Amino acid sequence: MLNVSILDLGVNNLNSVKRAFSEHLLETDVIRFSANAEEVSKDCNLIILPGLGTFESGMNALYERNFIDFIRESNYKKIKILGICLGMQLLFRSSEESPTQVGLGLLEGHVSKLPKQTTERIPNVGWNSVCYRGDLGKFKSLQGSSDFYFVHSYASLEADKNFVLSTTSFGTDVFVSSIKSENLLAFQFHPEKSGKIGRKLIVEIIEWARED
Amino acid sequence: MKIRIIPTILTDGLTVVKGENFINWRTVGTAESVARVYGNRDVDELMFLDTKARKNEERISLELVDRFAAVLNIPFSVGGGIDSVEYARQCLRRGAEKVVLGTSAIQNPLLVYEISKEFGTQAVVVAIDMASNFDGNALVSSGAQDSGISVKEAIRMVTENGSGEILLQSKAKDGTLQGYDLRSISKAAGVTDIPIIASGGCSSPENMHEAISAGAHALGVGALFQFTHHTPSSCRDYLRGLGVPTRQV
Repeated sequence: MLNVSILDLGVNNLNSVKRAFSEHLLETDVIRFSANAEEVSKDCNLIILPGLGTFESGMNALYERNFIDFIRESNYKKIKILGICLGMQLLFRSSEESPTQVGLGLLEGHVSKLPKQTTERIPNVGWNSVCYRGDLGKFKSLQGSSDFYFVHSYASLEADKNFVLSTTSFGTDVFVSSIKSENLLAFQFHPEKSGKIGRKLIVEIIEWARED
Repeated sequence: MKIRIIPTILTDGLTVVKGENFINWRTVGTAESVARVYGNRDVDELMFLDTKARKNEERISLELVDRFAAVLNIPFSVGGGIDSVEYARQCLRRGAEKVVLGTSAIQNPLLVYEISKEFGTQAVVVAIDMASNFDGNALVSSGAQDSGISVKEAIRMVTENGSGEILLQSKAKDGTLQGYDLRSISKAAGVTDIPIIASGGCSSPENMHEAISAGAHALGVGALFQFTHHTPSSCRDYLRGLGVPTRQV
């Protein structure tokens, strides 16, 4: 049974994420918003960190709502954590967007401003393909040619190879578009805003979350 | 990055209207039903603008934002009288990807800064209504008033304050199905380094291609899908045939 908690940071768009997941959960599963660590169920086995905002506003919200220790402990206990967009970025140690702000540090590395390009503008807004790296496992939706929706100005330009699930090109550069480790899963794009292929990915995420 | 085609839906409260030259309004259905139809057609993004809001001293309905989020699984932006960080927050929380600021951005540029600081520049689109073209002034209050600020200066000002994209609207071309204002698009793309969404006058995929060649990064479309046989997919196919990268569904 899945017990999903979507962390409400006050700045993120929650409706879309909740709806997208609810459509594919079973009646026996539970999904709810949690506005602070105390509200999260003890049986929670999937934490969703959706993203909207800046690195600083995101980390401030996590701090104010007592989510920082909670997330770090959950990670230690290998509870599954899904990060979306800013939510992915917050998992890293730091970000160029807010140089004095420390991130959650669940992933080694730093988030950078997308490098200036002659052919691209920043923010990077729109549909783009992902290039999968290594073993996709369940995540077959990342294998095809369907595009996902991106809207960001910052990204991980390099991360531990073992965790990189896909990369995406930006002009002549490349950034990490998804990450997967034992219990962490994160996407720079928005699965909940990526139409049909996004829904397919959400089904795969739910299957991953159900695995022991 | 791939070119986006963004149907722009004008609303008045909960109803969809079609504006010609921003003045004549034709009602075409409830906003929610229009959203649903577009959602099923694999559009790239949607934009909902309540152009009567400011005049009525209201703001785009949050109930409407809820309804859009309930039927759409693609990104959508909302605008119409948004004049505070808090109202922007409410729109974004309910599922809008971005907020569109019009009059507020010109009359209160600090608001652009505050909203982008809180939510990121990618959450902010500023609509610049051109009185005539790039050489003239920007309008406010849904095109009813001259702001006294040139289009060029307005674009620069909002870019500096943290806007993520510019929605460049041509009042002269709006609803006319006579093609985009290409020269203005080209000039606008030259004075800012953020993406430009062209809007006003699109009547065909050929017009879209012209706008892209002029420098547009995304195409706002109004009358085209409501009153002609073209569809978002047929337009993407046409553009792709000419080598323009478009969304792969």
